Amino acid sequence: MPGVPDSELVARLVEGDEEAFGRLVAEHGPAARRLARLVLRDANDADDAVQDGLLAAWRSIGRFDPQRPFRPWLMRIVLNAARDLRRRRTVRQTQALAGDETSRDAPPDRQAGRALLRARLAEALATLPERARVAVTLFDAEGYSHGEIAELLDVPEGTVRSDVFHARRNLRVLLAPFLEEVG
Amino acid sequence: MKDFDSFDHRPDPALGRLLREHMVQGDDHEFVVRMQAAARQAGLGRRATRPWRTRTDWSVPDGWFRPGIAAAAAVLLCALVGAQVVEHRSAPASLAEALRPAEAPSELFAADAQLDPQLLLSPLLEVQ
Repeated sequence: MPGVPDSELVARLVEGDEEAFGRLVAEHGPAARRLARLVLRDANDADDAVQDGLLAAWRSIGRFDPQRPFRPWLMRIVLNAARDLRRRRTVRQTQALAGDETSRDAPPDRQAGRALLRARLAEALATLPERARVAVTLFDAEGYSHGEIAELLDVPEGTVRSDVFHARRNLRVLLAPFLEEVG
Repeated sequence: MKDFDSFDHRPDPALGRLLREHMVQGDDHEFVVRMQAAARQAGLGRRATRPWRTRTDWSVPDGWFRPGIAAAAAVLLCALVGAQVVEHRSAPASLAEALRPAEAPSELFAADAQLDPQLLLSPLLEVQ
């Protein structure tokens, strides 16, 4: 049900309400999955990390300060879970960043174009260090501010600005033809 | 290609759209179901203990209604307790006093009084 604020859902979660958990996952899960995939570069590993992070967040929900926004707190936990999983596993570097995401209704030539774009995007992102990859995606795709990213990654804001700058420059070179299409 | 300053402090809409569109998983509903099942398996979840309320135009009157009923119940309870206290204060101090008719002659209740039928029937005779 849309329109239920995070604070209400968190209060429910403290009581152990399963439905509140589902609503929070529906609200923040997609962004959490994208963040985990930036770190792990594998969809299945990312989902495992997000699951670990979400369950850890529920177990420690009593430590969450309700006066503060929920999403950065959750993303920090998911990011730590992803990094922890990466330490524990050998990440399959060769697997493409995206799975089979093409629309079944799209014409074959368009599907091929999307597949090519996904592959190129995965390659381009793979050239970046993890922190720069996370920073540029959170900034340009997720709408986070430099300050929020700095807090999430636990680095100075100037470092985030530098990371975003270098990541943008590299991505623009590698994705120039595609950026012309969408821009 | 649009000339975009890499030092720009604003998000790059073209790059952002490209990243967003091609990182969408597309199975978010299934993911939510999987997470709920995982939470249940981990012994975290249970059904809602109170019903969900949606925010409607009736939320504000509804918010006032419940405290109003509680306040009215409290006032009624106080009134009942007060009435009991007042009644208790005017009650006779002993059982003998409670049982004694107000108009009965006090000689009837004297321990050493002789039983006099005239005296016993005097309240009835007075009524007539």
